[in-house]
Amino acid sequence: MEQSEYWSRFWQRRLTRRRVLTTAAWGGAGLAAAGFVGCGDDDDDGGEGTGSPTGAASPTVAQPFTGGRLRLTASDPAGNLDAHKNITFTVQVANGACYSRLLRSMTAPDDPSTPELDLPKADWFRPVPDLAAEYEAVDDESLTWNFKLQDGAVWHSLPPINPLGRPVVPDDVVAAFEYYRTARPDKGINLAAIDSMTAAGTDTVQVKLKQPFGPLLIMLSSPSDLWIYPPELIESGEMNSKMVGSGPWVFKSYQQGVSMIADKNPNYWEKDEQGNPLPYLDGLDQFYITDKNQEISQYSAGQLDTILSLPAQLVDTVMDQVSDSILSQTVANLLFFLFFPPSAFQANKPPFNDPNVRKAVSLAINRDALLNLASAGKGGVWHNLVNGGTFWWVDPQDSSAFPEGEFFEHNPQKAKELLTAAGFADGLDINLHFTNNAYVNAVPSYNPQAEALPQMLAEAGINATLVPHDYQSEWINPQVGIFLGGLQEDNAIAWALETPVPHPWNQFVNQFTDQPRNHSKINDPDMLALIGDLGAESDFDRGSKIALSIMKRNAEMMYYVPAVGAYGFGVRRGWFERTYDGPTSYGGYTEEAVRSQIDVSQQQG
Amino acid sequence: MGTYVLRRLLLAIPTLLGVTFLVFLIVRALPGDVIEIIVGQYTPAGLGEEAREQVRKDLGVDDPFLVEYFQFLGGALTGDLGTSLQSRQPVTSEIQDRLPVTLELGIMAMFFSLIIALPIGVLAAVRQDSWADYLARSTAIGFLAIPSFWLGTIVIVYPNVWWNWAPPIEFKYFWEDPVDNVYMLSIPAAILGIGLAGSVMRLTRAQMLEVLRQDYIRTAWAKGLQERSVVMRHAFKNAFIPIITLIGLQVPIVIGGTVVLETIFNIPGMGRYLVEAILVRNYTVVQGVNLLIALTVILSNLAVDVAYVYLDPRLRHA
Repeated sequence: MEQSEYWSRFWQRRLTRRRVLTTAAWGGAGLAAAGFVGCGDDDDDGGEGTGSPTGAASPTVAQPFTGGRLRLTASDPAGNLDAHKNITFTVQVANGACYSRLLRSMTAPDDPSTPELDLPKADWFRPVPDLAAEYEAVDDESLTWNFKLQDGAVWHSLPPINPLGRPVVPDDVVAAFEYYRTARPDKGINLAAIDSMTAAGTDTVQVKLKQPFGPLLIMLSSPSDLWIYPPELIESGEMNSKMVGSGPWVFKSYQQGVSMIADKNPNYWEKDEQGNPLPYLDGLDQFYITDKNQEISQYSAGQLDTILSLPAQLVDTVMDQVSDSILSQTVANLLFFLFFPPSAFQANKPPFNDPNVRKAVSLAINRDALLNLASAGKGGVWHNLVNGGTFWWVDPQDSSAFPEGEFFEHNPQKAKELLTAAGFADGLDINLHFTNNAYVNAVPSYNPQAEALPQMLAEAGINATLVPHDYQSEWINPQVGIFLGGLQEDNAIAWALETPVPHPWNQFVNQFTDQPRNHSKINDPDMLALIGDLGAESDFDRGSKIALSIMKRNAEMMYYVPAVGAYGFGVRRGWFERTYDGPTSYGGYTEEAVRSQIDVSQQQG
Repeated sequence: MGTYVLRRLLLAIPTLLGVTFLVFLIVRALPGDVIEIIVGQYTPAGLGEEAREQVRKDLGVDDPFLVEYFQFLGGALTGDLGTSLQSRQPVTSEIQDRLPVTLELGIMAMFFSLIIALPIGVLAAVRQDSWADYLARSTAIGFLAIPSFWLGTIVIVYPNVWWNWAPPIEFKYFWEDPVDNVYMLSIPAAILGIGLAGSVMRLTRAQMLEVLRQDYIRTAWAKGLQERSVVMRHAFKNAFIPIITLIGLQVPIVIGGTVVLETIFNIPGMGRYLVEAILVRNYTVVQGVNLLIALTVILSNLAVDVAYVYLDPRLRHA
């Protein structure tokens, strides 16, 4: 079968600069090994393409390290391992170890010349086969899709699977989809475009769409959505306490507040291109350590192999203290932004009904200063409406690609001129709302940035008073919370951040349609038309152009004021080899750890 | 004695009822709602209320306040503290996993406290106004002044910087691996014990000084008894009675200390469980844990009173 139209143009573009295995339905494992031993070639020689998403062979590929256990910390799923009943990233991360999705995100860079830990941005979130070995649209309108399951994919040999270790069949996937749609409070809204999912033969699942849906493949690879749970487990009612799936790791134990332990799945379907079974590691030990000092001490003492998120202020200290540390740097798939009151858009109430006033707010912000504050001077990117941690982001500082970026520059004088033109020559008095108790540990730069904003706004004549809010009661409460319920004052703005979504379309739908995350209750027919077009677009490049139009439209109207994304840092010990350092993904245990290696002769602890 | 204990137990019932009612009320009066957390931020506007109602029904939190309260009481009498709103597991079984850990930590902390405080307190009294006394008093004030969370952080950071040492990463229950278990708990227990020791040390010194000035102690000296006999058999036993009261009063402090230290040292006890439950407004867990804490405090006070009676014959005869 041929690959989908959605990615075909994208892959054709890339095939000129890589070697693609002609035999692998899913490859690329050797890349990890090649990168590991530092013997990958430049690989600009092109090659035959099969549409396989990844795959490259190095002429001198060393045997990978096998064995060892990866020890790291994560956030506790709070006692409930069912990602549809407990919709939070902590469960999704844990699910990534033991369950499969039909598709998953990129598992290794397909270009051997890619510097280690530097996955090209164009590859971010690229869907590749997981439980589905092949997939294609079988009609011209891309309304019907067939997903052929992997040969040899079996459930883990644990109860309640009956018989133990039985093959995964299409009816299992259909049952998992039904559970997804019925168990979740949101009724599976992200895949609402799917009309039906049925078994089509002994090894194929057929998906029928209500309308063309371009993001289908990425949404199917999203760790926030369709995990393939076995029907026996769904029926057993044990979904919250155990994980029995078909993924690369077999659940061993979960102890709330302590750890989740999983061993290598000896029957996992995937092999690297040398025929070595994956995963390479013997297991995963995920500890729930809430104190950052404790985590750093454990890492330093060699009892953890990595710290996935290290505060920028501590990077130099840890690098000095642990000399074999390897530093990685990413931009999180988070959008920091300001938003305005619904009254500005629904009742045309001043001052923020005027786009010039909203642009003045944007011009007042010193984004470089915010970056320095958030990253301890280590830098980052300016967000657009698409954040800098995902694909289709366009740098607002790139004046040729995004001339509207002029409204993102720090220009208090111009901000004052716009305010004067809007009838606020004497400036504005506003409240600046933020939540002060939600992100202290998870996103530590959020609060300091909020506290820095009033001084920046004051330079443009906007006198902002900071108003802190409790996250649960006053921020995300859909009735009265500011983030989900909207600002109730006219002279007010709010400092917020959007958590990751797998596809920009998903974020646009949230922010501009009848959703709780349409924070300002914006109703712009032009914007809605663009979002509709994007949802129906199945071509990656055309999709990126529509996304650019949406970003431009946002900048022209300044519905939301995007801010900055500081670099996030992680460290790992020298004995721990990762395949790449990709974008924010909660599916890392399937996407990355499956190819991670540990030199057990060096591992401490 | 039996009648006394029974009377005290009966008197504990209204206290428990009051505590449970207050906790039940306060936890629901807290801003924020577990339903919002479970329903999440992604539920479309049209589905929001429907989803909330469904979740309320699923969790069994759709009844009026008083109905839920009496259901909770009825369940508590049979050992059923309800189902955790987060994990959907029985609260009783989750507590069963955590209670032994916190009990062990608390007992070890009190043990550390007493083996530090009692000898030093007695020594300070017996050698009043000597350098040993000054050192002991300064130490006691230092112990009282150092917050356990600060000491815990220092213990984690500096040994790591100096010797590349870190506490064990994975918690082991006593029945799984007693050596690792005691090793892991001994550090936070010592830190907690240091905090408790300061006040015990000062009270021991003060009580000993008072008792050592009593006539019967002078008589003991006059009889030619050895110092060890006078101090330990005659003075310390009598000085110990108020100290027992203090130990009993320290139980809530121990519980409060475990909340912080269990988080810092990654110990899966009741304290950490309670904090996590409060953060996500997990009513049933907060209620269950608080009921147990109240019960523990009441029983520890009762144990102190019983010990008091045992140690002081005058009370026994009265």
